[in-house]
Amino acid sequence: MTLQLPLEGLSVIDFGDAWSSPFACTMLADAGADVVRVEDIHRQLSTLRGPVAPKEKVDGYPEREPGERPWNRYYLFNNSERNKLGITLDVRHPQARAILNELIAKCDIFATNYTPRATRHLGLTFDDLKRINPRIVYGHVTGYGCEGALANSVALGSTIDAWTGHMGLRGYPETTPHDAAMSYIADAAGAATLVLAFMAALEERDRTGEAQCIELALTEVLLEFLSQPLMQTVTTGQPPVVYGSRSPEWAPQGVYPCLGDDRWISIAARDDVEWASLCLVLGLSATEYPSAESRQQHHDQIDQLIIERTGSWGAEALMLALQESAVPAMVVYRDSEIFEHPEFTGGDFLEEARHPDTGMRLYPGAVWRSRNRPMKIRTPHFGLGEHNHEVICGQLGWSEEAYAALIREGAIGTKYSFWPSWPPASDASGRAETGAHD
Amino acid sequence: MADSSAPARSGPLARHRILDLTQSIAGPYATKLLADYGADVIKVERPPYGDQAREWQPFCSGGGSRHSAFFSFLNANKSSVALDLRHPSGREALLRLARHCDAVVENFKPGVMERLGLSYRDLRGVRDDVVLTSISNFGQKGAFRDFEATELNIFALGGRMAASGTRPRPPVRLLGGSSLFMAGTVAAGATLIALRGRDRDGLGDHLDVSIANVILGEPDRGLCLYSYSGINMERLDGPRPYQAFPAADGFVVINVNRGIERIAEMIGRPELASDPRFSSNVARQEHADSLEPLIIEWTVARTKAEVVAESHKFRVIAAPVATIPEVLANPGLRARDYFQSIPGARCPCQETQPGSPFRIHTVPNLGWSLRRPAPAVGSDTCPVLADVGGFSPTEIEQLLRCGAAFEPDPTVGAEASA
Repeated sequence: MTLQLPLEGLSVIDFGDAWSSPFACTMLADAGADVVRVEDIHRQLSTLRGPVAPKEKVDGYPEREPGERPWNRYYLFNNSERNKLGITLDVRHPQARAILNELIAKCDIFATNYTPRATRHLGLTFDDLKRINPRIVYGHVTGYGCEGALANSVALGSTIDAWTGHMGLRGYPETTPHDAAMSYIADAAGAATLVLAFMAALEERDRTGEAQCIELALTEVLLEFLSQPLMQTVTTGQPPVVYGSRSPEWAPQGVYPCLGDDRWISIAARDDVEWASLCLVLGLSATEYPSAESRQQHHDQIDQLIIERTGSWGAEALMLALQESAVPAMVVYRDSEIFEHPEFTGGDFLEEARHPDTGMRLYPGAVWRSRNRPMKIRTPHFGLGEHNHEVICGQLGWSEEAYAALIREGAIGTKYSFWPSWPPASDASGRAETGAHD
Repeated sequence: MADSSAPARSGPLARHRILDLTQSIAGPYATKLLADYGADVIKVERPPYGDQAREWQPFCSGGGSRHSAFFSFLNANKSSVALDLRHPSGREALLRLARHCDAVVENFKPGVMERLGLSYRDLRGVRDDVVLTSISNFGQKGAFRDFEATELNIFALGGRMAASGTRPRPPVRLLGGSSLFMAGTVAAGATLIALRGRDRDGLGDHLDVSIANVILGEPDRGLCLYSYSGINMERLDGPRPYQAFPAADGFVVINVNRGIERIAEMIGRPELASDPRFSSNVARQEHADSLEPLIIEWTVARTKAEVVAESHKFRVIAAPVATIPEVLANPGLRARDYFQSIPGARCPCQETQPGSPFRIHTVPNLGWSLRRPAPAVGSDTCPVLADVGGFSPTEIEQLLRCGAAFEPDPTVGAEASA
């Protein structure tokens, strides 16, 4: 029996920017959906395809070289754009819009995270699309929802982080929001939630035969993640405690220094048994703080005792010793160590993929795994407009003449129109737009 | 026990029945999402204390008993069946329920389901097309499979934590628990995707949701930076520039990557717009010491609300760094009815809960509803065994007597211990 991926045959248009709705589409693609991501050579709202006209030797490119087509070589985009086809359409151009409408007419799902104002302006609201496809499932991601004073405010990871209260609750308890790294978790959270939303709305579509309209506010998704602190204020009327790396439920829990330059280990003891085992490994006396309550109360002193001992351990050796005694512990690993660790390179998470612009590299693959329907990186990240010809002529049957006209008129292309001639040193004028990937 | 006047179960997922063997956060959040959009979720708990999150703060003391408000959020809309799965009759009862469920979700340590005789193979024995969703810290195989870990330990993997914070302080995590919510959300979506596959060809599945893989795969982590450029993100020696700007009454976030000319105008320094030191992201990072103080000078003289109002006027992307009490009072969220109460709420934690994470405008009630409060341990044992499993009153009596099943003493006010 040939095993189909669960979403094989499901057709998805990914009309989004940056991460939230596009990453939802990546997860659908991982599960077998046919996803076409639509970009535009005249605008890039977020700079996921990298800075305009980068200097030589910049982090983020393979071997730090921007190369001939830097926009196809930037890590922020390529990290999670597997298993999709990528086309470019300037939807203000009538012919490009006609192409988009043809795709809309035969798709199951349309995903966007443009502001409500932008979707109205572009004629891409739910009502607009329902007229083209009466069975469409429309997913609209916004920062703050489709109505209200903030409906059209551009929301970024940072503003959502601040507005929801997340920013004030993370990082060190004793410092201001300055000190922690930025957190853009709302995008990933919104993406995962949108996948669920699509599946729920598809159930409804299949039952009723009617088009479905999903509205998802990233702020409201992130507030679910903040339910514990929210409920704390609901029940006590007080602002929640900022725990940093500690836990409200047990003590100690923290990040402690080990031998070597900037080496750290995270350790927790969730109950008396784990505390006793932790003390045994580190050579501490467990009797001094016998109860969870006393450990929570004297967390600072306990941290000092632990720091005095961990400093003479190698991080990896200590982790193994603690795990041997069933104490929760994990080295604070850097990315490089993830790429070297058999836990992640065994093929169930990091996978190799080859693209002409980036060569063979390791990328994160599907975030969950299936026993019966293996989910793999089937196709790598795509270059800007890489599948224009395949989709427009191959799938939709447009003629070569019409395709050439689209290029001539700037409706489609494979490089950004607002970039200076690139590469800077050579004469790029002779390079035809069609040449690179078609 | 569910109030008989409670609203009937409805929603886009109403045709699915889920057997929920999870506890703590990731699993219960996954099944909460399914339940809130209409699925029939049967939470199986170990008698007599049940889910360990019942002991997790914050606590609510309304309605006559002290109970976890966090648990009350995570487990609304579910019924609870208390079964001792190590008891042969308890295991048998579970398999009999599983026969009538579309999916089973569990977050035991890897290997526990097998030891209980409830492996994917065992479940398939009673329901051939079952979808089993297993959520675990590091997945069902691999070198870390059997490691003990809290969320902090999982978060320590990969450069995110190593790069969070400032030297010489230790690396610090972001908000506790978010990895678990993230994995729970992925698990809920993955379960529905597998059910869609089952609907087509009749083949069920065993899904492996590793919390570590879920967070390492987040696009904002940009994990492939290392495979491209060979570098690790590191902590800085001081605060990161442009993270948050102090206002008179707290902090605000202003995005300096987009619209520097509008920011320049807003803070009354239009000349900055044409200053080459600030003309690009890279340049602004390089010259943060010059630009940041000029913005701060303007923000500290204003309240958060004033800064945000001015930003809207000048179309600058900005937001206040809100406190949780401010979030609960936020007029925008109130206008959208984001916070919701459980029908017949009897305590503060049932009166105010975070609402729906998405709305389906084409479905009654936007597809989402709170129908009943979180159950007491085993509050639905007998009706679920009878209605779902088809157990006779005699069989149920036997299960209760031998300790394989448990129901709370109805005379001790179990209703209040939501």
